[in-house]
Amino acid sequence: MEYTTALALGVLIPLISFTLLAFTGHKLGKPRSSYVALLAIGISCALSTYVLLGWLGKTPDEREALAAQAVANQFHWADFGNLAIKVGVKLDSLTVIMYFMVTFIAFWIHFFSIGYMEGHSDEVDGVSKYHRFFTYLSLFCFSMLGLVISSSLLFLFIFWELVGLCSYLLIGFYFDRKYASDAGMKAFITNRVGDFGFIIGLAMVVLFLGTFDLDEAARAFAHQFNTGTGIFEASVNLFGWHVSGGTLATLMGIGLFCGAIGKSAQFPLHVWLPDAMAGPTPVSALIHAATMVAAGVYLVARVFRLLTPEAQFFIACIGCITLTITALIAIVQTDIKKVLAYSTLSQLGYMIFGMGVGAWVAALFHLMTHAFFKAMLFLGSGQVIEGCHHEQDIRKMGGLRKKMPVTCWTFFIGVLAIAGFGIPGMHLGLGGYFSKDEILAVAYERAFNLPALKETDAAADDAGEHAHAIGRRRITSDRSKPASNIALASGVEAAHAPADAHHGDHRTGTLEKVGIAARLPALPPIMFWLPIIIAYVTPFYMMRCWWLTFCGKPRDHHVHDHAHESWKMFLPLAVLAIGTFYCSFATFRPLIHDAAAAATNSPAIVAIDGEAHNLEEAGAGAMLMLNHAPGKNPHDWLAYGVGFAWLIGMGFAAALYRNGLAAAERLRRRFALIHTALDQKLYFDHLYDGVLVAGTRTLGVVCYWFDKIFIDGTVNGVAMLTRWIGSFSGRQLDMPVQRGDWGLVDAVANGMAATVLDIGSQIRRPQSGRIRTYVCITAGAAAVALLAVLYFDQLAAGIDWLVTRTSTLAQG
Amino acid sequence: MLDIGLNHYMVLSALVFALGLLCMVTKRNAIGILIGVELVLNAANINLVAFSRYQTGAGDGHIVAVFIILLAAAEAAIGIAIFMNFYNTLATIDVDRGDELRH
Amino acid sequence: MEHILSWLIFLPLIGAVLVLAAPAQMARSITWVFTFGVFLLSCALFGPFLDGRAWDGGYGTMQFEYAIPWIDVGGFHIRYHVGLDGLSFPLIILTTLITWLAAWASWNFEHWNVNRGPKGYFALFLLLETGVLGTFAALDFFLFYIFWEVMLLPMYFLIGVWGGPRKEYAAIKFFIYTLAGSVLMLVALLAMYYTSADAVAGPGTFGLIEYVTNPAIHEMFNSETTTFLSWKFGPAMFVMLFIAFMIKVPVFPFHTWLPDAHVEAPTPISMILAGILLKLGAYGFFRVCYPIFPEAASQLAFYVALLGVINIIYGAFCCLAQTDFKRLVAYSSISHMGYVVLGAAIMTTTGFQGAMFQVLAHGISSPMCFFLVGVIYDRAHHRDLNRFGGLWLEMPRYGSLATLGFFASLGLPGLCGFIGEIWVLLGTWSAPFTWAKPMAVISAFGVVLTAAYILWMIQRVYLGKRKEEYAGFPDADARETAILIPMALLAIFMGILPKYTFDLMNGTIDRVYEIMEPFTQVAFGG
Repeated sequence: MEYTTALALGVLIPLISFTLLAFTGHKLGKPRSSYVALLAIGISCALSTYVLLGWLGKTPDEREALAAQAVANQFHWADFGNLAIKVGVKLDSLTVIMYFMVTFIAFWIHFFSIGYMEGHSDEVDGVSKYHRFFTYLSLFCFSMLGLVISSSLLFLFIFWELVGLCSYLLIGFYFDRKYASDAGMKAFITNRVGDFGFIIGLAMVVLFLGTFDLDEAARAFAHQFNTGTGIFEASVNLFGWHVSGGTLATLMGIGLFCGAIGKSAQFPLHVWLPDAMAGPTPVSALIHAATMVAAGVYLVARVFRLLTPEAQFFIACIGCITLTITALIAIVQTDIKKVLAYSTLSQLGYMIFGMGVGAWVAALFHLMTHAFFKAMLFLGSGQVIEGCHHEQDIRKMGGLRKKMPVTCWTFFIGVLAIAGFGIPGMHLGLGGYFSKDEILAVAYERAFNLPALKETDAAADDAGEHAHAIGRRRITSDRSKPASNIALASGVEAAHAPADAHHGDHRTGTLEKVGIAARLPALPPIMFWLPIIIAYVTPFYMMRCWWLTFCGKPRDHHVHDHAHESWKMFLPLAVLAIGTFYCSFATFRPLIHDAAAAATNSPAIVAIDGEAHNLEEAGAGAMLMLNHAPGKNPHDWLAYGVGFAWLIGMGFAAALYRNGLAAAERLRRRFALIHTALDQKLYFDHLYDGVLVAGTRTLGVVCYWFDKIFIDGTVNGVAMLTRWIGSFSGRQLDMPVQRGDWGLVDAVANGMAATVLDIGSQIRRPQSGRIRTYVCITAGAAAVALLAVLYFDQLAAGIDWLVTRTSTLAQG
Repeated sequence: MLDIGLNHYMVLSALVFALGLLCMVTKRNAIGILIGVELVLNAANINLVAFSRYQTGAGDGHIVAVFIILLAAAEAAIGIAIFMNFYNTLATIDVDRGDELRH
Repeated sequence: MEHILSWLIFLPLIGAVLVLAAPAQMARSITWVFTFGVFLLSCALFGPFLDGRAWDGGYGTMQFEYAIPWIDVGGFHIRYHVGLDGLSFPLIILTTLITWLAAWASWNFEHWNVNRGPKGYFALFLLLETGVLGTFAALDFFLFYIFWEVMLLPMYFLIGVWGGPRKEYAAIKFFIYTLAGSVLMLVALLAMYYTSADAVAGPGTFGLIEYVTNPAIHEMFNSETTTFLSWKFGPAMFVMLFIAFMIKVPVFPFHTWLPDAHVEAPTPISMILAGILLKLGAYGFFRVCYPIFPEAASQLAFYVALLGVINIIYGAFCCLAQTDFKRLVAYSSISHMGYVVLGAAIMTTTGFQGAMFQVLAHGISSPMCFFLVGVIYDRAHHRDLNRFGGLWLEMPRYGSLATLGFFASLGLPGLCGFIGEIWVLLGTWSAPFTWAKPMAVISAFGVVLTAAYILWMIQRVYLGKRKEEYAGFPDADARETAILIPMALLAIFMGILPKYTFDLMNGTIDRVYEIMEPFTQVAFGG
């Protein structure tokens, strides 16, 4: 089977499952409807495994050929003006790996849900919503997979919205509870705010780059960047603000990134994700930790080639702010799911930050590893919540280690992974260790070594070696070996590997001098230090969560007595735990490396190299630098400094909570002010509710009463005129009384009607209803007519005379 | 003896017309008004016959007069029927009371 | 064959006569049969429209065209001239479909709280269909005007006699507004007739196509020197016609008849009003205003676009303040029709495509929404949003369909509302006017507001706990489901495969754009 067909089928099968369940789900009933969904995602997962394995066995050239074939097989969807919109499968390493990740995790979460939802779906007033859950889940799988394989930005946007819909439906799954439906609404509307920017970005792409297709857009952008045409010479007047050239291009990138801000819950739109925990726990695991929220990062990765250095810098800033504030808030959370939600936010912040500083590979690697361990953590928390009778407050837990050992230790693996467990210098560690540290390393380069980087860039260009360096790194990305302790080291190794002359030459031939690297702004040091500090905070709050839940003495005996572990849900936890180990060591990392190459070196591309340069230079800049200055590795201290953050953070948490909450309570009292601020989530919700939501509603009311206010001020003229005429008849107008929608507009219409009515009243005054009056009038009229006929001549002469006299007078 | 000519008929006709009109204007009784209407119609009849006799001599005025008499009879019949209903509704035949349509 | 379109137009009229002649209890069946027959007949017209080459002949290439002299007195040459092209044909299909569904929605007539028999209602209902179909098919401006007026009267009575508590007020308001527009149209009509006579130095014409295709007339209409009274001819005509049509759309500030009319009208009439009658105004833009007066249109584009943006945003804000379910849907119609005005204003292919698509999409989604409101009104006998809640639990099938309908209205991708909106938004951004980009930004904000009011409404009505008040409400019955399903399917179909809808009209839109292109100042992409 062709890969594109396999991928497309894998998308459509969950859709079939959705359709089936939507119509027959209620008849299929409790366990059976879940089997349909599980089967569907199972097939998708099998297909994706087939594609993944096949893809791994292909050489880069074969992959390019396959991708070209996928482009050729696009389907004409509609015409936008004269522009044909094509739909197709984007086939590259990134698609393959994301697709596999989504189907794999989704499959195990479906599996988990079958057991979990048994006890969680009958809660809606006795009506089973079991089938509905799996219906939505299938729809989600369809939308998410569609998003992953979209080759066109428009389709990316369409599936983008659809996953948003699924998120809305699943957050509000317990829709009889106000907070759940509120949370769903909040998620959807917040995302729409982001989509507002996305639409603008999309509009700029289609206007300036003239296409929706990702590859074509990138090609056009590179060409325009190199030649200074298109968007780089355009000028736009936005509300009096003249935007032109590079700023416009930056704005385009930021617009597209707005979508990611919404979906990946970045500052300032991060507020919806913690509330989204109102949904069932498997949903939190699948949608709000592993896949959908990562779609924002995926989007940035996809449109990376359309980002100017300034836009990248903006992205880095947003990521940095998000990862910092959300990690701080996570420290004081007491709801086990909220802790995980804030840690998700913080990790997403790391990914976005990584993208922003150009650590494309590292950010996506972090996305993958995070998906596994966070899904596992959430499923673990689901176990805990299930076992403790829906208790989510970690202060009431404690000592669950003995009651639920499997959950405890899988959860601990997750904590280690997110904390960045690893031993520097020994190539040993869990996924989070490699991915996060690599982001930090690139940030370090950008913050402190940029001049060297630029020098390198120039030197490389002069010598024509640059292309070789890229080609080399690309080919020798260490597929066979585990990733080394930090990215930089890996870069060194890679750079020292023998160059592949063919690819180097091939790339040299089409390389255009762009020098985006020369334009890369240096990161302010704070943007290096904050992520470093947070790297210490992360292990602390995660360990705190684990310790309070599983260790120490039971604090609430009621909860503790009930606690039990459900063996039905054990398998997914174990599998994901293995996955967490596996993805630390094996295929993921090299594949993403290859994706980076594919994303920058699409076969049909001619003028892409400007951006390839940009991407590679930014993402692997450090490696290049090291390539030119081996032996002068300034990162050893960094590696060791950050490498043991997990130990320090976790140790501190364990020490603080070893005797229960007392020590923490003392600390809390001392820093009461800070604690309150963090506990109130830094007042973002208050601000938004008080200003934006209330403001919008008020504006709605104002608009609705606008006409009414208007009438009092300006349109009295019409009404007074009407009344003046009306006063002759001495009767009040009895137009129907209006409710609500008053207005200028009404007043004019009603005024016209009233005027007609009044003229009528005047005219009917002689209509006394008395026959004698009528006779008199008739007779009088007849007499007048008679006289007029008899004395017509005299009358005419008289009028003539009058006119003459008047005109004489006027002249005189 | 003065020859009776067209002018005499016309004066008579005018007098009858004026009397009929006066009757219509002053009477509140519906029957009175009906009588006034008859007078006015007959004033017209006198004129018609007189003109026919003195001016055209063809007798067409006579024919029209006969029509009018017929019409007047019909009109009187209908009028009285209306007044019967009027009386049934309002228990009076004072036309000033019948001003409902005005409202 | 040449009479097939005339049959289509007048078949409902025959039905109306039959309804009057037959016993009262048969009225609804006759109406159902006739509207369904008309729908089938209109589907039979698809043939030439599936072939894109039908439009190679330039603007004015009509299918099923038929013309005979009709009134030839006093120098007026009025023809009975009907025909279909890509602008009118989709609307004809929409009309016959929605009228049929609305006739079906009238099935429970005897349960309405009215004291008038069904005969008048159904006869007027069919007369209305004739009026609408005639307006869409007419190619002679005078004929267009006649049908326009024919349609007005049944609507007045349908609201005024069979409406809600304030039906007289709503009906009179509707009538006066529309009539005021008609007067302007009449003036423009006569002015155009005499000016066309001047242009060709012979007898004038009412031909809507001739105004465009006859170079002498088109040039004179768009010339700077031609005058009407003391104004320039083009802008004066454009403004008069635009006002006449914008009342119908409705565009701010002439919109306030719409919420009143909707709130008072019975459910099927609301469906027709929102689904079809509003589209007449938009059709007027596309058929009359833009092709005939492109010069004036490009001069006044800013104001038209501004009105469109105001419609989008103002309508959405008004929605947020509503407590009456039906009034909310009515205001959302105003907001959605704003995209049509904006799409037309920018005078590009994309804009027209988006606007036309939005017309059709709204023609599907808004009757659906109004019917959904009607379903619940039939049961609860009130429409107060704050009193509802938990209906999805009570009526699961209805709840699911309602979610679909309202998400279509929200503009969710994969459903019909999205395509029109995104086409207009992206098209506006790309339009060759300097003010277009800020307009695009502001109207893009409408997507946030739309999501807010729709979701908030869904939460208040369908989500939440079960309420005692609504316990035991029956779920949507077979008839109600059968009415909703075609609209739901179409909403999905148009959203997923918009190409087939676009194909019906793209040919004509391209021709219209060719006419307008010389008059828009800057080329696409500037």
